[in-house]
Amino acid sequence: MNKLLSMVAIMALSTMAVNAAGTDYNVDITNSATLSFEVGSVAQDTVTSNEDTFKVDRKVDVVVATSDTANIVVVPKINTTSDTKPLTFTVTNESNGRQDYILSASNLATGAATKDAGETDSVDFATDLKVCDDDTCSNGDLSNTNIQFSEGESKTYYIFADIPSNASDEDRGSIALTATAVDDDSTTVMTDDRDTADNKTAVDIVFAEAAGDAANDAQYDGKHSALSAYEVVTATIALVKDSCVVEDGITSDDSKAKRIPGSTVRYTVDIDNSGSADTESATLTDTLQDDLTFVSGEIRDEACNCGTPAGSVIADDTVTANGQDITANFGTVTAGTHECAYITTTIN
Amino acid sequence: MKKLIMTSALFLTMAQANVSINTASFQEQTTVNASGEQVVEWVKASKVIPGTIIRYVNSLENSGSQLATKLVVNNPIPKNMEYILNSATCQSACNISYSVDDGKTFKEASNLFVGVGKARHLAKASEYTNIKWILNSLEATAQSAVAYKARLK
Repeated sequence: MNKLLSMVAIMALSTMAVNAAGTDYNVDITNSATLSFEVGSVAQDTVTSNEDTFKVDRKVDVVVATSDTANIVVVPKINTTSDTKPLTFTVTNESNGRQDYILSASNLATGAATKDAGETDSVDFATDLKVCDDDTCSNGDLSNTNIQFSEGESKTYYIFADIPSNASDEDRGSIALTATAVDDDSTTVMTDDRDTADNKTAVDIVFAEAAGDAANDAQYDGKHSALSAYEVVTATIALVKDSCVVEDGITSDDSKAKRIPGSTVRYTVDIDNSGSADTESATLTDTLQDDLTFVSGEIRDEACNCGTPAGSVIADDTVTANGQDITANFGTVTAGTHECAYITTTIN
Repeated sequence: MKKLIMTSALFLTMAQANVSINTASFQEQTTVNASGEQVVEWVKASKVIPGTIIRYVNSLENSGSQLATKLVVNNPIPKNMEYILNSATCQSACNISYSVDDGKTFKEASNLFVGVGKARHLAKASEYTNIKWILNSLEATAQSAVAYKARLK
């Protein structure tokens, strides 16, 4: 009977969790020693010391990290939630027990260094930041709500932001996710007892986390943060119009042709995509003055040269007229290229 | 001549040696003094988290009137604490040995082995289960102390 009891006792002791985070808080650590001695070569009764006991305190430690390996590419005006373009993070509770946190998303100030070497933040995507627990935000924004983590638990969170219409090509907007330790079952920010008076028999709180990436996130302040970023990749379009006289039916040297009734005047519209993304479905509409009559139009694959059209005609791109209204369908204009619409008219 | 035989009762005053042992725990505390310098002190252990180093001190006092000899202090290392190798000390001359089998046998550190055959190795700190200090003697009214350090797992 006694042997069985002592075996059970040993098993109970060994299930006191000591995992990666260490001994659980609130566990009592007791030390005691025995002393034996002789007097006049006669062994005396063994003496047992007192028991010295202290409680293991709460070591609050959290790690926030991004799992994005590159900036998340967006175009202006998209709805990142419906287009499923979140920034992705993990939050891991490395405390020696259960710990609750609140999460918040914050925008990094323009000009600050982003997480990638050599890059700086160039735009603020601060509108409608949401922290969600799935990549479609089906449970809504969880910012500043109590979230309970068990010892060692790691969870994934997603931040969504609105990308404004005036975001420019190559803008980088960094956003941080911060996890802040709170009291159990509340949203009250935890305070630590590192510098307060001793309390051997109660469970104290000691913040043990590292400094994070967001502004004002120091070591041992009860919160941790990591940065990820949106990068805007878009087309940047510039249009330049020009015109030239092709021939006037009278002057023998076409280079000296004048704009007189009957002259053929060529208009050109140069479309320059200096951005990092192709523009699709590019359509130009223009209205001719009443004293001009549309003759024909074509689109070529190089920058405009009114006098001597450059490049090859793009068969799929059309220039059409509906009365005085001209429509030039450039279709896709590849990033880093020009196309040119040549519109031939005659002066009435 | 009468021989006076003096018989006197011999009172053997067996004043027992009374040696007590008291254990206490301490941890390091670093503060900044008025000159801005860091000061490290040992204070009573009360803010203990995994990784904290504790110094246990067993204080001995012989409050009796007799010399005590062959004093043996046996300190089982608490569960969840890991002994810090070579940290056991004593104030007066002593012999220090260790156990890896919960106090059944004790050996000096250099002779403390665990495992059989190819797995046999010099005991690691995590395998130590007890520390034993042996002091030759403690005079009446004298005090001494033995100590060791361990880290909370």
